[in-house]
Amino acid sequence: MKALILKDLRENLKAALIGLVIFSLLLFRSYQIAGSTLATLLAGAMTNQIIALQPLLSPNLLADAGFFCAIFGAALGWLQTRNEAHRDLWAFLIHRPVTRAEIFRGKITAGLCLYAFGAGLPLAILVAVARIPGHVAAPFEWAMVLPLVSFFLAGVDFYFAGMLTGLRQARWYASRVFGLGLAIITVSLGGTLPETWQWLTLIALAAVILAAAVWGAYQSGGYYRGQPLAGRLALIVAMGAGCALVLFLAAAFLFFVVFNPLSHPSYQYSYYQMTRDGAIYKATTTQDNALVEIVDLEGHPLLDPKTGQKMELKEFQKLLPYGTMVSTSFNHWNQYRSAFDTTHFFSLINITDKTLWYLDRHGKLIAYDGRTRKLAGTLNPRGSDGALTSESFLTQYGSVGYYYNPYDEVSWKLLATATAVYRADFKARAVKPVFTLTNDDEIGAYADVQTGYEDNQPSRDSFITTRKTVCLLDSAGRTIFAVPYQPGYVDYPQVQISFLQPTNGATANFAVWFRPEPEKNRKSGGKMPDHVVWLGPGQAVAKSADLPPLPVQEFSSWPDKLAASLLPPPAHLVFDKDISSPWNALSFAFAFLSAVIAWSLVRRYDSSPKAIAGWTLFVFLLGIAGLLTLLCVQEWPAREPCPRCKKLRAVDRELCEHCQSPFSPPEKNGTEIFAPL
Amino acid sequence: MRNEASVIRTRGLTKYFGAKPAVYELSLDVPRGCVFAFLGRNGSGKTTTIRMLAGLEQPTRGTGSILGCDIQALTPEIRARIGYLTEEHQLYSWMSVQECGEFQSKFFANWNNRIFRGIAGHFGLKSTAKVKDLSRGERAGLCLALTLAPEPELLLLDDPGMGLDPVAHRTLIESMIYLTRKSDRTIFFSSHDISDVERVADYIAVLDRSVLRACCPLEKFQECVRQVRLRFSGAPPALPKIPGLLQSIRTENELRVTCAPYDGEAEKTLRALSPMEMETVPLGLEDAFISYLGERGEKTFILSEMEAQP
Repeated sequence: MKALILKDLRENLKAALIGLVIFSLLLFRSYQIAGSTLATLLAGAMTNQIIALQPLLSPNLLADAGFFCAIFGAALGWLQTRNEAHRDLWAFLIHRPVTRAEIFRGKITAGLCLYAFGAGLPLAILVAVARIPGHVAAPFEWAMVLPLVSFFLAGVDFYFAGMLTGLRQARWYASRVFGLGLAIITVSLGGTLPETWQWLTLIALAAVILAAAVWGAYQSGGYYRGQPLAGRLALIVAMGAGCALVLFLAAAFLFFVVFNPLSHPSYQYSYYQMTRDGAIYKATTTQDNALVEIVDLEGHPLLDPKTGQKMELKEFQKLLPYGTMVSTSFNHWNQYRSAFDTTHFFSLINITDKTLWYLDRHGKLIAYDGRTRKLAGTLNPRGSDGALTSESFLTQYGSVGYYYNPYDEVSWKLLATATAVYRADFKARAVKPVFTLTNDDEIGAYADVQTGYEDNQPSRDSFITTRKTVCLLDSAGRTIFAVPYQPGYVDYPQVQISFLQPTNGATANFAVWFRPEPEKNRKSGGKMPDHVVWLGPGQAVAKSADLPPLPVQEFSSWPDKLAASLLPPPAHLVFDKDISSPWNALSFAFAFLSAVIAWSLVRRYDSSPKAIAGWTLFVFLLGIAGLLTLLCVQEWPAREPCPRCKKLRAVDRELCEHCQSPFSPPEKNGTEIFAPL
Repeated sequence: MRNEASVIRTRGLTKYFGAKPAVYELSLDVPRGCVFAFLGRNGSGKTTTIRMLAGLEQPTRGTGSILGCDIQALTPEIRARIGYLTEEHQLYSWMSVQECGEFQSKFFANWNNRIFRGIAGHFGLKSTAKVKDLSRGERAGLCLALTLAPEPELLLLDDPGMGLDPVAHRTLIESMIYLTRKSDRTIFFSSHDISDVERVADYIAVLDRSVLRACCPLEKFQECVRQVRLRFSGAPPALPKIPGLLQSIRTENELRVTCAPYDGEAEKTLRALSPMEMETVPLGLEDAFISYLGERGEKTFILSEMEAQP
């Protein structure tokens, strides 16, 4: 096997070298972007690519790595098999005293080594560079490597899928590439799975399936027939995923290109907005964000005082107050939003004296010297007695690693732990508590907000929600107002504060808006009203109101329902959870019809009851995609009339399936010459 | 045809490509230690049969064994005993002659480097020459060297001389004859070159449109395919139905009839035509083979009739 490995290594080294060069350039570019982003920040300019300060987390790099590893892996796998696609060279490879399983092992050993060389080596070097102090002025932790490593490992799926593409002898030529579908689905699901380990498990599972399909293809020379059961099952799963993906794309095409323009769904969307004087209006727009109307709670249209006409959306937006919204949660501060998402690792909160201050996902304040790119220190919260506490700072809602605006920054910032608010002075490198919860309450959300409408106003307040109250603190930690958290955070986690400018007799300075949890509201049929509290002079509650419920928006229309009903019934249930929905019935009808066709086809060509039952069940579960899989995978034997019963019989059986008569020997033409040898 | 010492044995071996049978109900026994020629026109199913025997193509139905092992489950041990030379002599183009030998030698326990070097030398191959730079004949020689160096017990050679110039062809056949002649070695080869067959084969099998029509010792085949010349005083009479008729050529006063097998019944039918003269013309193997696989039916070469035609 060693000879085979060495042969394949040498044969495909050029491809691996090309991959190495391309990937190295991509990674080097990302490293350079990290440097230029740092230079931009140190020069006092604004950037929206904060996360790119750590090249391992750069979204651009992740996209590049994802595409590169997929293409490189698939190309490498395909090349390794295409080199021996000529039937005589395939014979030269296969006809030697080793098993086909050994040939498969030799091939993939060489291929994976080359893949590791082309894609893994540059990645390892980048990780080493990011890890060694003095190169990257941003926090590093090993978990940051996981998204890149996941893309690298997903490339192994593509490698096997590429091999399968090169090996498969398919009746429908285009279906050779369907094996790539499973790899594509695996990578795409990384964007929806919340945890990296889930994604890695899926990648590993897909790799095992695709490797088994490739192993099976080596056993049979790429045909379905003649494969061991494990190979056939793996091929069916891989092709099933590919067919489901093709069907999904077809459904999307039908929806976006064919049905949707025909149906012209014209849904409207209404929402409440508060103006600076504290008045609430209902704005209604179309799906294209074109304004339909702006009315007050009595239904009177809002008029533009300058023109006397109905107010335009643009003009209306000028009337909106400053404010911010937080989402109260006591358990999920550091929850991943998806395995792709790297922005949760840290946020840049301040730059003072060329020192970058980060709040990492563990709630730690970490400083990096922008000039030396080395760790400059950390700051921990201290209790009221001055001693260090074990508490970590809360990540601010919405403060993700994309954006940093240096123009409104001061050298201090208010930060919160679960029980206290601190003033972090970055110049003095000190953290002092300015507000501490006195009871057994806990801070559930925190945001520092700029107050007032004047420019160059450095005042920063802290907007805090706890289990019991919602309060605003000034920069010294003094309470500006505190109102009870009602309704509670479980049903109303989103709380918005608006800074008002009382005019026209209005007296409220602030408004606090409690918004219902969207999914719960949808399930209740939109019956959970928004609750608003106005705080007047002396910051006492001046007024409170429940706003009339808005209709829950159902954005889906018949085209997407119809297109989605082409999908496998289990997948369709994801889109349409209502079991009794007619679209679900349609999806099951498609599946049933597909299963009947599959049953009749398999019965005609394969007498094995297991095969008939297995395929029928598989097609019923996957619907049209299952039927497509059957048609892609199965090699249908020719049929010719049986001389005895005259019915069509499959040529791959020893006996006629109808009358059990054997095939007759070739008809003699009188010129036969046979003699004992 | 049953032979207990068969190294190759097939029963009802059939292969369809789509709706077309490439090999139909092939039942064949190849005795140990013989040189067996497998003949047929292009597309008659020779290569498909050899590929099925080598376990590279799955039969649609039927069974086969090679060296006692099912052709659909050839073990590495059995493969080590079989040398297989493909018709297009494909090798890894980036390898040198020496690298090809070294690569192949790693897999075969019985690798005989003297044989490899001997055949390579016979073809004038430089060890450093790259496969991609070799001529077709040189590549065929290298393939033969790689096939023979493991000293296989059974050789499957798929049209080894195809596309070679006469010199390369002769060199290849000489190598095949002199380097493979061992009492217990069996050679199963397909060819279009009848002179090769005549020179080396003990037995032949002929496939005609996917069906095995002949399988016998070489001499028997030559013996069975006969041409008979019949002279008449005038125009030859219409030919009655003759068993085994391959071809008849009619001229002004002569009728040439080729039959296979030419037996007593055919002779009796021809004599019933009362020719003035009747003689059996000996046919060379090539003529016999061409007659056997050529166009069937009657051809008329009567000049007066041809001139009268518009």
